[in-house]
Amino acid sequence: MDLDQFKTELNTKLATDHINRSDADFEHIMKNKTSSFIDKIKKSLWFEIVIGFLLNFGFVYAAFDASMRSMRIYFGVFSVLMYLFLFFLIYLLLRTNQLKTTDQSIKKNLESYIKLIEEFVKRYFQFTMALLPICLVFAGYLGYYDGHADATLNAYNSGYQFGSKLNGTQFTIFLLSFLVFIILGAYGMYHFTKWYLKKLYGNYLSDLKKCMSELQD
Amino acid sequence: MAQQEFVSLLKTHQNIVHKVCNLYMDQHKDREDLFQEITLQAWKAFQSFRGDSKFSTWLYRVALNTAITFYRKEKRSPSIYSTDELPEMVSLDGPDPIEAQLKAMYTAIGELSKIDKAIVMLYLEDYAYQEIGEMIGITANNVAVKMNRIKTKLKEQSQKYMDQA
Repeated sequence: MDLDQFKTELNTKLATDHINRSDADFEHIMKNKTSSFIDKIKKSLWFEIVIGFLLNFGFVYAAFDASMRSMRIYFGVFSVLMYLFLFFLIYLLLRTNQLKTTDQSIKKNLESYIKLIEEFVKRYFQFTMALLPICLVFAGYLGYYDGHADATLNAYNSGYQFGSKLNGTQFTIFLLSFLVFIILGAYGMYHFTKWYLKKLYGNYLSDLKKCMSELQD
Repeated sequence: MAQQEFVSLLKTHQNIVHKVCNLYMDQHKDREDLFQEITLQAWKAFQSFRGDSKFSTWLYRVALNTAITFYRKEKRSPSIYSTDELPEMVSLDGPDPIEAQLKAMYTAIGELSKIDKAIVMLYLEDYAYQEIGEMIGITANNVAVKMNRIKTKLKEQSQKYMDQA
């Protein structure tokens, strides 16, 4: 059995098994929204930009209004980083909008898709990882600092020193617990982010890469 | 005006979109989704269509690109291309061996990779290797090599299905 032997029949078979669409059908379809992966990324970017801006208003407000100094510093730094991330998201959105893919060659189209999704995933991961030390170490440090300041003030008012409550062993235990908290938090966050990004984009990306590798054979 | 022109052209060449949908999707619902996606992507890209190539060639490119990158959230099963279902499918054809052979070949094509399907589709449409290469983004020689491999694979697979039946 040869492919050429059935060329005409296969062509006919592929072209049948459908109902011819009318002008009205096409006009109706054209009113719908696309559901391509790139459009999903665009929607996700828009959502994150809007939510990010709204959240950042809260962060800036907290940076100026929080009663604790550590909270003001924390939200201040966080809002600056958030603005950087928002600029990055806007840059990605512009790049996604510039993607004119569908009428170029299959190889070029795949290249554009893979490049865009890889960059999206990579930057997303980098940003989340960059937030880790800020969220864990910085928050822990500032929390301890404010706790320490409050405790010192209370101790001063009530007539004893803050340091006297924690002896050497207790301080070591506190420090170790804090380190374990940071390491476990960082480890969990690292793997969760990796798993989440793989779940969202990984399978699709490897599917595209498989197609690409076939073209590079 | 552009919309009317587009709809008219698409209506005339809709068999191209149907062919791509039939080749890439084995479930009716998925075919409908892909048909809609190709129509929408073609409409979006139509503004950049300058008529350098024939509308049919341009539409093939858009349709194949959309089908290859089409994202299906839910995996539907079972697939009609499943080899488990094949013996029953072929045996149903009983008295007509040509029809059985055709179905076996059709099933074998359905099992090809997305890229190989695109090459086969354009080959069935009688495009020259040079044109296929331009659409895929590889050289004509590469198309020829791939086409030889595909033909051998299809021959073996379809024969295997016929033997099983």
